[in-house]
Amino acid sequence: MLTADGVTIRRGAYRLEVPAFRASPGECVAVVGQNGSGKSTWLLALCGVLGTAEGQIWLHGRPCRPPSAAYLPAQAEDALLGADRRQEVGLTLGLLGGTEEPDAVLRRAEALLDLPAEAAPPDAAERVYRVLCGLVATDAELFLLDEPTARVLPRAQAALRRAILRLCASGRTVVVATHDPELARLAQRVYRAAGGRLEPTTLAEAVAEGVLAAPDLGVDAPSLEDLLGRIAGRC
Amino acid sequence: MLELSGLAAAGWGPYDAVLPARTVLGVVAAREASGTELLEALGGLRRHAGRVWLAGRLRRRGDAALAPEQPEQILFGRTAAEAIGPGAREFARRLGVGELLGRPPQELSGGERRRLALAAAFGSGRPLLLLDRPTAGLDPDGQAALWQLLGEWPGVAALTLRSAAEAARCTVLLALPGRSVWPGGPLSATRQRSMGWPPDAAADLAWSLGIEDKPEEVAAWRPGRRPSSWSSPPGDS
Repeated sequence: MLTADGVTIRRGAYRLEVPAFRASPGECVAVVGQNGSGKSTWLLALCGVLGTAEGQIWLHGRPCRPPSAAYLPAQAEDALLGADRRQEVGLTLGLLGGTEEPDAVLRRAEALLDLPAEAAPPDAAERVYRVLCGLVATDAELFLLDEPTARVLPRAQAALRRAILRLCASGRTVVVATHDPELARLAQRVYRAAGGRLEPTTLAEAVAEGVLAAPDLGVDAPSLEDLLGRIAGRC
Repeated sequence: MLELSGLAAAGWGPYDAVLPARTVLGVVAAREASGTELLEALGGLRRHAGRVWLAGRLRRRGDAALAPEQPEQILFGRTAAEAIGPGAREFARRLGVGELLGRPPQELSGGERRRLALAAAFGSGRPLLLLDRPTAGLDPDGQAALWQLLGEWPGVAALTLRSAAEAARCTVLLALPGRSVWPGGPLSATRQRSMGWPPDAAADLAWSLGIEDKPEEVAAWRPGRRPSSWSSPPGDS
């Protein structure tokens, strides 16, 4: 269980107050809010990179730190170690002093996340998959994912949603910061950052307040014919 | 007006198109690097085959303003105001970051930096806007402000897209090839056409945006038959 009560984070002039934050094993928790509201700050605090000015964040009764907490930054390339999934896993294991065979660990990670085949050269989605493989190899219990679907195409967004569901199903805790309503829909709890505070809310409330777009229920989806009519030139 | 004649690079093109002023060109690329390449080629920022004409003359390098996928690449300065330039203040205000101009760019959040980079492109005074995945990381307000500005833009804007909903907001679309998976394995374009499969551009568009995943359509892809939802391409009988 991840718990934070009466926590305050200071980052320069910025201040984020978190009266109460909870996430249980197997849960997906969404952190929503406008640009600059403090979503990434909270993820960094949860993973122990930003210290708390007041209060303490606990994971199963211990201070929350890597390698129990794993972090995917909004720009996945900032966290990349290796040139492919195998290297990523191998180098991660090396940093943690593991002695397991990287191939076996990678196969387990890929099976757990049910990832698409590795793409070379890597695109934005592949970079996210690659970091996730490395994070799974750390045996972290808590996954902190900063806008994992923000930069990828619909197909990869779906693959990432599936990977997140599978992480949760394996008993891990996933906290995502996101503007993506389809991703937020997976969450059992939603917190909203606004005005320097992080407070519980609901998906419906977040949509009503305009913090999240309404999920795509297929009602307003453009048809392929409509889109084909706009194709330019000799393609 | 922007005119492309034979614009091509490894993996995509050639494209011929005439894009009048006020065109919002959506670029959908199955291989995402191709989309970035196409934007850079449009702006003369990378080598390509073919020509690009702007308002009746060859396009020059200074005609285009690029907001790259990583906003940090163009935000240099002690303050955000310095980083985006004096012409961009009004656009920064419209994009909701007018209050942040006195702060150093590296202290701002990813979404705020994205808005600043977009403001810098809009405020550059250049007629050709190139926006690489401009909506990534923007909250709904930010996206609404961006589409509002694009609607008012007097020149030509080209942007790489992430969803069918975004494609529906563009006036013209370009679908770049590059998918690596196709039902039954990769096939040459000629072979696809001879089998009655959708025209390349349509297939690329559908594949990239995840529209063609509907099972009944996949099932209907049989030799000599085209699912009813695919429109016939011009000149293809």
